[in-house]
Amino acid sequence: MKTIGVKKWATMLASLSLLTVSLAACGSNNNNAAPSATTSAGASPSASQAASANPNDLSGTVKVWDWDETFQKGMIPEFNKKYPNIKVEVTVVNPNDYLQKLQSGIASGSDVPDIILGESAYRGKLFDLGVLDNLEGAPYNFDKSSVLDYTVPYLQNSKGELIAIDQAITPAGFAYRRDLAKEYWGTDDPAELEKLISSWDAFIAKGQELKEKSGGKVLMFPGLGDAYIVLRGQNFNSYVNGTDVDLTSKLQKPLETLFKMRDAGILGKNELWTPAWSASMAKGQFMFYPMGPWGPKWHISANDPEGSGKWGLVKAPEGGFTRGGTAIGIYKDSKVKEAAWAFMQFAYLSDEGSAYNFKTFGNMTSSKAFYENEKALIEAPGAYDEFFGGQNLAKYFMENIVPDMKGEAQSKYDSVVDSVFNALYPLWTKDTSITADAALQKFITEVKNKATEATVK
Amino acid sequence: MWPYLFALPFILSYAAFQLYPVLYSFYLSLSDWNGIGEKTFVGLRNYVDLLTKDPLFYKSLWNTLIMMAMFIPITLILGLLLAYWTFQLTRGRKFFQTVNVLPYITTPVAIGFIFSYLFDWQTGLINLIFVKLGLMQEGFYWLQDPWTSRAVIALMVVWRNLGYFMVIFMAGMTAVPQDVYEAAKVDGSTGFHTFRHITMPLLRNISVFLIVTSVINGLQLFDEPKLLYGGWSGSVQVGGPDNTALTVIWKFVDESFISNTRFGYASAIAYTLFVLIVFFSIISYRLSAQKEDKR
Repeated sequence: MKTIGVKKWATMLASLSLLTVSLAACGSNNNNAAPSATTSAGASPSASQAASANPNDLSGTVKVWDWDETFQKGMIPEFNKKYPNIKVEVTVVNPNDYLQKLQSGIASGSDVPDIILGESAYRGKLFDLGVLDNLEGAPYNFDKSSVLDYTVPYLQNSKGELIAIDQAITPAGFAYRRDLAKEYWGTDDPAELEKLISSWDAFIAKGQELKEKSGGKVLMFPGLGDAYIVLRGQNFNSYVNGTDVDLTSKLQKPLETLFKMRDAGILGKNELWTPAWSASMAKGQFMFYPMGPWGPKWHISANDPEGSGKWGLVKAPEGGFTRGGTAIGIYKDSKVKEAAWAFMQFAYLSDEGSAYNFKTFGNMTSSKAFYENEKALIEAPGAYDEFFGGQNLAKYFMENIVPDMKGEAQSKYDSVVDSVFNALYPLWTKDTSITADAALQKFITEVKNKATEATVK
Repeated sequence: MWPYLFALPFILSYAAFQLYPVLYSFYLSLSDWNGIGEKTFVGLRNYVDLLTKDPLFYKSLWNTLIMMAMFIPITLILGLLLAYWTFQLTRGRKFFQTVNVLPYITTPVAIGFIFSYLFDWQTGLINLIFVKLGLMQEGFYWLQDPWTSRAVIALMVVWRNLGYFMVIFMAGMTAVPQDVYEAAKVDGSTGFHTFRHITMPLLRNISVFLIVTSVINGLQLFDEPKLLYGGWSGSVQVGGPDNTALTVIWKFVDESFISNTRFGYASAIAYTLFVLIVFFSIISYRLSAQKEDKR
């Protein structure tokens, strides 16, 4: 009897301990969530106290998700010199997973950053989710006339609210190989090249000449994807109105020019971002690569580390376009809005932050004032000017490319259109019997398949 | 009361981490939700749209079935032969076992990278070899042809799972009593005859298990095609050339995270796939276990 009693107790104890363990496991989720909520709530009163001018009064912990850890590691200490009481915490998040991670974070109510980045690939979708605060309202009171006019449409959602600022401007031209230009066209001067490729027809003619002279070894672009980025980017017209998607007006002309180039044989057969595409930069197989101000760091010098002095920057035929670009906004339910805004203003708009950003990373702010107040900095050699044969890149972007740029409204259908393009252009590369017209029809059908609620034409 | 108390920890964690998500996603499949805004209840509309208005869904299902038809028989047959051969080895058996299982434990991302590099159009090793040997004038665009793209994916699956199949078959062979083989030997059976009439029938249960599980896993095919088409890099081509490599799960991911943010619709895809998986596993079980019933 006694032994049975002991056994009974033992089992009861064991089962109880099991139960507590499992309950503790369930409970730990809540426990994790609780402290972070209290810290941010605790931070908020001190943050909201300070609409005052003294940076020391602002405090709190601002959470940022960014893929560029180097940038944040450099910028945060600069920021803390002025705002010592604001702590900025960076989580490195891959841009490919960014939106997915953000959505799960918001949906589950767990982990959401105060400062949210919208890379161009998913910017329209992010804007459409309605998770970013209107920056023209309190407590930000952002004045959109303080940034370059052409950037404003990239910062607005479909309702016309301004919900983000630019991480850096991304006007784009072509990076070109000086050695090849000199060898085949007799000049590597950007001003001369601009004249040689002043229109797309001239560009195609020059491309054919290049192909002949080099015996087919050197072509204009690595692939259809590169050419499309330029052609589509040059058409700034908005093509979405509610659920009406007008692809014909947006893409007909770009596709016609694209197919003309393909049929002239001046495009390579590389897909964007493949190892072969990256390797081609160092090999000198292609003359041009579409490039924005972030390109010297992330593309050209990264893929052609030995290529210093071999590269140049020239405007694209018929005008500028944008390449990439990241919008930065504030989560609408953030508890540290003022502190987050202070960081964003410092890092991306203020003269001090922009100067550091420009000198260290070559990033160019969208703030108009910077280009007035820091003229000397723009005139001075930039971080990658030497790599580009001593050409003043920032000045060239500002003076030759930005003036005739326009902005393009952002839409949630942008990512559908991009993904359809990515699925189709390798086929156009492979099967040269496909015409521009057939390609457009196929494009429309595919977009219809993916955006079932939209009317696509 | 005791049994219930002992079962409670499992039941609780099952309810929290399995049952609740399953029921919740069913509820989601009846609503329209982008993950952040308001959920609107739409009844069966997602299912109706999926089954009547979405040609891509049928295409993705068709693609998945085609690829399964490619890799399941090949993995089964090769796995069985490989297991039989390795089982007979007196030396180096451990070595071959290990070598064959290695792909199964390799990181999928690495596999995606290896295969997309091998089959690259411009710089891929396969094309380089074919061109060097004079078998081709110009490299073939493996990953942008409807049939070769599927074949490459099937090859990835075969390569990855062969070791696993082999190990399971070998486990089955170990369980076959040696006296059966001895009796067969005494009766004059040798080589292939023994394999055909002793080994294969005695491994039927193992085969049924492998067929049914590979049908279930096959319908959830996602890693291989996704990684082959740039899952390891910045560029992502959803669905392969003209969507010929789009699988049901890839479609599901695309609807919820890549092209769209339709969580409700994606849940409807998941539930439809669930029904299909049940259906196909019953069929595959019936077909593969049939002979046993007759005997």
